[in-house]
Amino acid sequence: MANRTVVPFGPQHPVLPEPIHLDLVLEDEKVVEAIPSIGFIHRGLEKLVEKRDFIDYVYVAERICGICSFMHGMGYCMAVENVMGIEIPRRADFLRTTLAELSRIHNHTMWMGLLADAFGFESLFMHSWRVREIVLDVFENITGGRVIFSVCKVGGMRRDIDAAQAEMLLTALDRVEKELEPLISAFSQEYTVLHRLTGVGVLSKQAALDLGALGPMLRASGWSLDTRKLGYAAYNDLSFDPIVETAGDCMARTQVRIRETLQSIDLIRQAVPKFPQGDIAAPVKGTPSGEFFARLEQPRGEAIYYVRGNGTRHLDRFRVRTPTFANVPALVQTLQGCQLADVPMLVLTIDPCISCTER
Amino acid sequence: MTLDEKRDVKRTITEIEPVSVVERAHHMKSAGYRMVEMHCTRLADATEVNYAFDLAGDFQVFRTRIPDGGTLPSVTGIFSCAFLYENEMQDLFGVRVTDLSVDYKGRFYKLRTATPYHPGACDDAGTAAAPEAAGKEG
Repeated sequence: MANRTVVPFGPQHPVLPEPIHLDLVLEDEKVVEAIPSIGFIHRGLEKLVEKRDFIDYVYVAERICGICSFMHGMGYCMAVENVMGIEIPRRADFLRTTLAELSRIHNHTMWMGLLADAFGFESLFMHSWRVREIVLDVFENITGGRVIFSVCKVGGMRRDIDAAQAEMLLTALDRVEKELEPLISAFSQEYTVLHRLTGVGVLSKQAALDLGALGPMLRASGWSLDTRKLGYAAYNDLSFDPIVETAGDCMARTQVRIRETLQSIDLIRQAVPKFPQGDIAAPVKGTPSGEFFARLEQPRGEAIYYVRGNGTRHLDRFRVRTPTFANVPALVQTLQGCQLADVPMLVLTIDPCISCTER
Repeated sequence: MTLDEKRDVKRTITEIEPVSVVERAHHMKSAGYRMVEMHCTRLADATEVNYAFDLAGDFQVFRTRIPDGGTLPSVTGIFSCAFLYENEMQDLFGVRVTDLSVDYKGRFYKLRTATPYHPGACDDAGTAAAPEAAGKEG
């Protein structure tokens, strides 16, 4: 048996924009065990709900993460609205769906760049982020913000999308789709990409389920599970099927995200012409009393938002289970047996968001 | 569409005794459910623990109460992914979990305050869940 050595990976590492630590037990260059540690930036945002007005807390929920900021606000609002029995206007549902899918495009194009950077393909990284920039410009035009939007509120939305903005949005999506073509070609056919991703970090279909994997990680292992199919917001009125791959390796996870980016473009194109006329927010009366589990599909997978109100303006409990937290056991599994040089790719193919995980 | 129709496809919450937790987990596993999440809510003199499972949109939650100083059996032998949630319970709420497959012994989160949702839980439990956490810099 080869000598075993332990290599600390993170919390500060060039491939990690946020701190997670892995103790990698190696036999020569092969990883035989990985022990994760988190908690370096635990912020206690769930606890903060006890001290903030339930209306104002949306601003805190949005700051759980910079990439999924809109969806965190949306998930919190969905939970509170259900507790309070508030039916938001249908137009607000469509606006939320549109911004949620734009957030997915933003996340996936950013992730493509980070992955390319992890295996040293810097021009692919730069091209991916150039596409992402188009989406950020759209966000800025519609909401006034590029990262934190503060347009979602309990009862609906703060800002509408007018006809000119809708036209600008669709034109921008045409451009995103066109600019994605060479990227998709590179990710699917380039020798170096195929060499680094194909057959690496295979997660079997059964292991993905047993380990609680979510989102693209789960769907790349053959499971057709997508929370959007539950029909929240406007998804009931849109036609789509979950993107599924079966190989379970890094390439399958990449392909799922690439195809989901194109699917999000399609979903927005379906949604915009269907925007109903009318208000974008319903009045909020009273205080939340009761509990609810809201579920939505973030770019990284299903997120759960639990709220419990006590009839005052301060909630008793807010809990968010983020997809990265749930994907850690699957990451640990895929690391076992891999080569040390593949660790950055494997860490990135769960699309880790430690901000979300640490809450 | 009514508000009820907009809610999750199915969602049930069932209260169970702590001694039934492992048996229920076994049942859900054999029925094909996946573990979605676990979380705690602090009550006046106890901690409520929720176990959420899903099968094709059927969302089932099992809820139990652990009195202060009590222990909870681990379900990591059935759902290995539960080790994250159970370590979180120990660190944030001071709930002692027995037979945990991967036990960080209070070091899962690097907290300035031990068991912030239940200050003093280490004293209640007799043996501290997070003995080194108190006063540790984040």
